[in-house]
Amino acid sequence: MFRLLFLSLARNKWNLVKIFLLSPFNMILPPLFIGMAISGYVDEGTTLRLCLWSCFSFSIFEVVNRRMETFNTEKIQDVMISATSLFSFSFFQTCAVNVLYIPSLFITLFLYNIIFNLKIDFAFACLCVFLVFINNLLMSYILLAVQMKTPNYFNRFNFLMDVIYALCGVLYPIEIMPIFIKYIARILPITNIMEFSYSPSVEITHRFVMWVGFFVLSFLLVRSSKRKYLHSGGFYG
Amino acid sequence: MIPWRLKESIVSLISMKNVCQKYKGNDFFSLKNIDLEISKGEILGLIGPNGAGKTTLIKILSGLLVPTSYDELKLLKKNDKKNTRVGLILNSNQLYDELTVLENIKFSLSLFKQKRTMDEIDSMLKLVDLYDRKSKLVRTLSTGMKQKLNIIKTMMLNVELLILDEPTSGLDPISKVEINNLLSELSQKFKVTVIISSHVMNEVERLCSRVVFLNKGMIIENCSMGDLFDKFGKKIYEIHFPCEDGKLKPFTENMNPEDYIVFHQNNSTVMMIFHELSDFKKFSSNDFIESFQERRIQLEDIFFYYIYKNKESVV
Repeated sequence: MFRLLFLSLARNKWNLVKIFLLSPFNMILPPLFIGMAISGYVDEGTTLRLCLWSCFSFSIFEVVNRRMETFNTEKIQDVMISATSLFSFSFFQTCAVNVLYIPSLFITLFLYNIIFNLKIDFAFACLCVFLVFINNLLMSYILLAVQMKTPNYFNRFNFLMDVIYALCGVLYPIEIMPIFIKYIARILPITNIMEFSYSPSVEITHRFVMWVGFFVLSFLLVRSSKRKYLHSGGFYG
Repeated sequence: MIPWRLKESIVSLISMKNVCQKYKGNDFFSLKNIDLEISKGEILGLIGPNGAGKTTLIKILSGLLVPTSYDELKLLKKNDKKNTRVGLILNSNQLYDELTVLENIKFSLSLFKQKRTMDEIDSMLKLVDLYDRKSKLVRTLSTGMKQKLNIIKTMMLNVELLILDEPTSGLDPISKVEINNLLSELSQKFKVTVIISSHVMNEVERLCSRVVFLNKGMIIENCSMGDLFDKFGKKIYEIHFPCEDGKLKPFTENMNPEDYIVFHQNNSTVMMIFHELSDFKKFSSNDFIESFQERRIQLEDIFFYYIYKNKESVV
């Protein structure tokens, strides 16, 4: 199933445009140039964080997009009556999206490393990417739970992504934020990865506990949404 | 003692008593007091006007909706890794456009955790003339081809119960006939129980062994196709008048109100008489009448009868 979901994504030309055009140029280049204009150089850390953010943002957008295609057509009813749970289906879908988008992150990182003559530590970048993958899975489940409970979900999702962009510390360390915003920001899984990319010595073990908590919560929410679907004939009925 | 073969054939696959469904926010029941038994191997037609409750009943039968209340509800067990019991065919939106014909079949098999050999898949593809297109993307197929693919991919899951919701909607007449032939052939070959919800009456008439009429959430008729036509006789008289209902009195005064229906169609009044006319010269030789037709009764006529007769009586 994973292979077929991946193939259906890879055959969509618009996805390739997003990976090789929108993500490296539209998402990463402008903030890099702004940073360069202010400080006079391109920072490795900022480049890495922008690539991580871009990977997170585009893959989650794609997951949501794919899911909307499933939810708004009869495909969801096939999944609902099949032997594959909604949770497993979502897992395969998210993995397929990530497998498509993560290599593009490395390509972009590699190219910028050469163009701007940076010294990016690729071993460390791999670790960060792995964390982004875990974060994407987690966010995918949380959003699945929210999506199953919220009509007009897409507009709210776009707004949410803008808020996350401002709070997660992709362009600046969250230490500069007011203390209450800092605590809110740390609830977002992606913030923890950004903090880790600033300073690998940051203790993130206890945050993993929070992530597991999110997994459990999203699992329970998805289960309750499925129960609601069965009792009301639709997710939002 | 009932021989086991006979016993198996009369075992009901699905049984429901007094099933009611009321959606949140609605002040009416979408289904009301539904009693239904479906036996193994039968092909059941589910017909009714829009909003009659057909899709709601289909959702309940496929396990996608738990009814608000019921006295008895025996459905097939949920699909699991070992068995696929229920297959649902809605329309071509169930297919993945970016995958090929073969990949869509494989995807469906993996979703339902079933396995089929390539030979089995190929023979099914040959059956619907899609073998040569198995490597083509689904988006390049016509709507009819997509629906054929939809049907064979579901049949390959080895389902016990196949539920189809308007399987020929949006298809041209030739594709409709092809789909109906395919359904008839496959249901006999695989010995599956089939439930078809459709607005195309001649399709239901040709395919189904039993028919259930739904109107305003209630079953208004549930009998075998043979019994239904026995009840209504073989002939029907269809008369078109260029007038209002009030002027029909001379024609209807000696008739049992249960034997005819009157409705408006394209600026004329149509009267359908479901009873042998002893004095039909009164109609056929009357200048006042636009047209008079005596013809074989069809399921569509019976559909009109039930809908118009129940218009006032069902609340």
